[in-house]
Amino acid sequence: MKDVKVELKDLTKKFKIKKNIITAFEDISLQIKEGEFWCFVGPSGCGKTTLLRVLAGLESPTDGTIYIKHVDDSKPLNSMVFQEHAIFPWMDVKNNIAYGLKMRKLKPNLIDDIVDFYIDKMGLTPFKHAYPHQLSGGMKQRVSIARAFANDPEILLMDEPFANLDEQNRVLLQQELLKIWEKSGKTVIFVTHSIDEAIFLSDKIMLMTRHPGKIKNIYDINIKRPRVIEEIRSSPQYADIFQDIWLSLRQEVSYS
Amino acid sequence: MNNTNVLKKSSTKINEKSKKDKKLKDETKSNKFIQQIISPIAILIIWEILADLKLIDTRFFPAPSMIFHSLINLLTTGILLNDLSVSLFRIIGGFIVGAVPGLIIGLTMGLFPIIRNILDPIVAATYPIPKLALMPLIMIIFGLNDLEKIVVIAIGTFFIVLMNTAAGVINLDKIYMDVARNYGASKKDYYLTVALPGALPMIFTGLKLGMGMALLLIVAAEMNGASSGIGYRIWESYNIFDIPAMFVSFIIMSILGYVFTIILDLIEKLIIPWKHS
Ligand SMILES: Nc1ncnc2c1ncn2[C@@H]1O[C@H](COP(=O)(O)OP(=O)(O)OP(=O)(O)O)[C@@H](O)[C@H]1O
Ligand SMILES: [Mg+2]
Repeated sequence: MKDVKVELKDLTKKFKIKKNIITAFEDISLQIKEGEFWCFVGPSGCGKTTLLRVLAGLESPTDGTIYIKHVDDSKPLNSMVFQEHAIFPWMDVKNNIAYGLKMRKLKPNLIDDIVDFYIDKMGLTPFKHAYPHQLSGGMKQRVSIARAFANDPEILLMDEPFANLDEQNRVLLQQELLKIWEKSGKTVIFVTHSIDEAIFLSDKIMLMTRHPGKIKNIYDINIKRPRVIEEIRSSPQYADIFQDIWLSLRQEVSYS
Repeated sequence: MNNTNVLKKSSTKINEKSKKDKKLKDETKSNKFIQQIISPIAILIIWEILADLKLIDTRFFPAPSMIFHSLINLLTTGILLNDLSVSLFRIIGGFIVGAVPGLIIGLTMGLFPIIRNILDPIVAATYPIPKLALMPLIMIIFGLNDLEKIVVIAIGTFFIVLMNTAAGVINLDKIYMDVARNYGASKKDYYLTVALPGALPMIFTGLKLGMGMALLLIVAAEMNGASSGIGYRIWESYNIFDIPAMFVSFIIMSILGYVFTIILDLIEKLIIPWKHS
């Protein structure tokens, strides 16, 4: 039995804007085990980003409790791939990717090695010294993914990281992510709008209701690994789960 | 073998293409230069003709040839260079004395809300006072000397740099602070790796505006208690009704502004290579 890595109990986040109270999500209770791959799926505005931000410690919850286990003090607990990429315009690709490592004061040549490894993996080698304004949207996104990977956290929080990529790059990076995940035993929490992507990647999918987001359903994806995208898409299991989630999500979207 | 050949071919093609591009660029550049120089030359010619025909009052608008004559005169007597060095000392001195604390206090106000809250009322109350209105007081306090002129320019520069620097830090997208926090940046790391570089474009805007302010104030500051300087020369030409010399000073001021802008642009390009042009 694997250890519990993240446990949320009745987690609720409300924002107060002037006199209005906006509930971003409410009553989220779930248990994520060490090394599991979770996807959060739900209609736009249902609170996925906010939930990730609460998990990252960037916002505090209004109600409920969070338990997160930090095993190895030499590693950061979590690193986030932000929905807006948010790479620094004033740093070149190399320094953007090195950011977390530099903040942790690792040895410069170790930082160089790690950074070069991910620059290569992300196909960014020719752009190592380019500034963000010289990059395409998809390249910026890859820089922000590399920044998180390079930081080697215990939990990877990824907010629609592949949204701006073309299909080919998306599949490549999905496979790369799975490889890294399988090797490292990290816990991954991944937000996506793509049911297809969620099924291909995850152990569990949390489907959220429309705003204000609650848990609509949690799906176990028991497709064996390692997974190959072509095989998965043509398997009957995939079709069943896809149909299930699709109908459930459509119901949520058509309410509004 | 075959492959490298193909590569070579395509790379020479690219070279040719970039050569063509460069030629194209050079052509449009020289075209642009010609277009831009037409109107000043035309104005000078028309001005000269009008002056020669006495169609404009040359007491107020001396012919370009007269101005040029005066320029040569001021140059050969050494007056112009002396004026220039005296004014430059005051402008640059005042600019530095004003910009450095403006930058430091602006950054501090941008970074620390507490300090911002404490200093904001003072800045808000003193900033709108026209700097020229303060001149008599500054003259009384410091006397009529270089220091007083430097202080006048410094005060003008100080506020502009401060406002822009603080705004540069405050208006930085909040997401960058989240990234810094998420990736374990300490407060100091945040200032050095995010706040300061992120505010640089606004800081430079402030410095450029500050420099404009300094040029404006030098003329006022040299109105009283000066015996040389470009600004002094303008007032002196007024007193002795030497209008051509006044026009020479205008030209010098214009060149000064242009040169300062170019220098600041250059420094900006060096310090902010990541800014889109
Ligand atoms: N800082 C904030 N202040 C006030 N309201 C906020 C804030 N952040 C998010 N919200 C609100 O919380 C709700 C959830 O937003 P969130 O960004 O988490 O949605 P999301 O599920 O990530 O949507 P999308 O799929 O479009 O990215 C929205 O109604 C949003 O307006
Ligand atoms: Mg979102």
